[in-house]
Amino acid sequence: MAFDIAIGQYHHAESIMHRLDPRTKITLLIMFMVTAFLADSFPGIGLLALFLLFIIALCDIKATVVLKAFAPLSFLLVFPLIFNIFFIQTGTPLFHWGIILITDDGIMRAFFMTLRLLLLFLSATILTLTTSPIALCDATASMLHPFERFGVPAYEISMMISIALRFVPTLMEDFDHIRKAQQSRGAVFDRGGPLARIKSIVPCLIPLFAQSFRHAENLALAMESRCYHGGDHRTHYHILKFAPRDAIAAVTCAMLLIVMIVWL
Amino acid sequence: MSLVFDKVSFTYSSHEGDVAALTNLSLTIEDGAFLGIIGHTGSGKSTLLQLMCGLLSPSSGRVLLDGNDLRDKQVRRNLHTRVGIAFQYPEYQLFAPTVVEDIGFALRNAGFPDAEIDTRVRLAMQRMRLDFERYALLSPFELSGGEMRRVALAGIIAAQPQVLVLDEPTAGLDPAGREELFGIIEEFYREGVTTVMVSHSMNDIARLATQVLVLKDGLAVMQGSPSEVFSHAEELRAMNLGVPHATEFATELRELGLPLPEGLLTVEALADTIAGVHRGL
Repeated sequence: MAFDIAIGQYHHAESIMHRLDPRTKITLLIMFMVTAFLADSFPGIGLLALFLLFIIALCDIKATVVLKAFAPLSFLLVFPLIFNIFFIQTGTPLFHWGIILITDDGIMRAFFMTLRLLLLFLSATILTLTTSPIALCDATASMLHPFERFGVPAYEISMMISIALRFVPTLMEDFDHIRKAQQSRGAVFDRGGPLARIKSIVPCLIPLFAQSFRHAENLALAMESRCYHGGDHRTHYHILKFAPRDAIAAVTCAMLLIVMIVWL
Repeated sequence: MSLVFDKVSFTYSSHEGDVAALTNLSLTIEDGAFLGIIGHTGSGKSTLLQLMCGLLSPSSGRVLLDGNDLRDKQVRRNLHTRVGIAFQYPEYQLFAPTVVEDIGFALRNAGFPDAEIDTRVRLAMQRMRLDFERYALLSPFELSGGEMRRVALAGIIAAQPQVLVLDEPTAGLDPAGREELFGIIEEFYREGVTTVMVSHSMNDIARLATQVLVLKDGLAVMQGSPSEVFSHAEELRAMNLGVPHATEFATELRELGLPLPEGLLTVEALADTIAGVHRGL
């Protein structure tokens, strides 16, 4: 296929991380992210990085796979690096030329922020690598369930997410077909300036929209004809269940993170 | 225009490694011929069609259009005005606000002057039985499925290609729509347009094809005139492909003792032969 997007892709393996309840993983991810934001020193961030490496080692996924999944996001790391280097003006000046002033504070800060962002991205990547989209959806539904009494449509949200995820490959395939059909009518997508290129994609986007409406209509019809009904009374084929390992993981992580927050 | 495949193979890489979609295919489609392609999903049909119109380039071997290699940049320039391809359900490629704009898309891409575009669009609509006054300014999305199909095909024939490649052109149409569209395809073929048609209907293939290609797992398992290919009824049935109704019926009649020759492919030919045999009695 023309597109091989690895962001948010699930990678199957038989590891303790894969077997953890998705709700545990989401909770731990949130805790990890909060701690990464609270940690304000190099030792703190360093310890978190070590902890994350330990987790990655537990995943039984090749480092190359992790890197490939993470690579498309890595360009986002460039921005904090550049902004911090050039815009923090406190500390000892190291380099001065015209309006450009680079200080030791700026460089330290830049590396610190980049490292923190790296940890955030990597930890999220690990969640998606070890948790199937379906499991993530079920977990979201289950975790949002208590908020239903406040009017949060938890079930609908998770249903929407899972349908959206399910149609990603379908729409990519549709796009590929449409692109080829327009190419065979002489459409060219890789010539001219940015504006010409954006305009050249319109003959692909409009049929894609039309097609996605068709898919939506068909799916709605199929669901209705099977008497689909959302909400409370639905049962699940896979029932999420906490196991002792979830407790162990949660307690270990919580202790580590509390230690971090208190001492570092 | 003639199309020649010279020992063409095509492989693509997937998660499970390299997959051969087409293996060592040699094929000659003479100018003005009608090639019928038969094969199941995944047999390499779609790859073959994309190689014909330059959307894919062979991994090895050559595809020659009138003796010129399709990999040549000069040959590929405005190839779509010489080789027109209609993929399955071509109506899903409609995008323009009006029918005329959509039909003129290929012509605008080829850089034709406006007056020429107008003439060709009108001609294409007329040939596809689309009344210009009635349809020209409608949105393609307001039309019925059959009308959309005809608009999409008009957009392909508007460039007046000398080779027409059709992937199941009549799929999803009602019997009347199928018959009408088939009639239009026949018109083009009679005027000398080299035609390639993929179809699941052996009856459709038998009606016009001058040569038939049977694909299985990327290999050309049978190739030849329709009467040759359809004489291998057993092998075709083993591939779940079958033969035209008329051929099937002729075989049954022969087994009952009626002296019918081999190679009866269409209902008309069968009827004439039976009438002849009857008169002869």
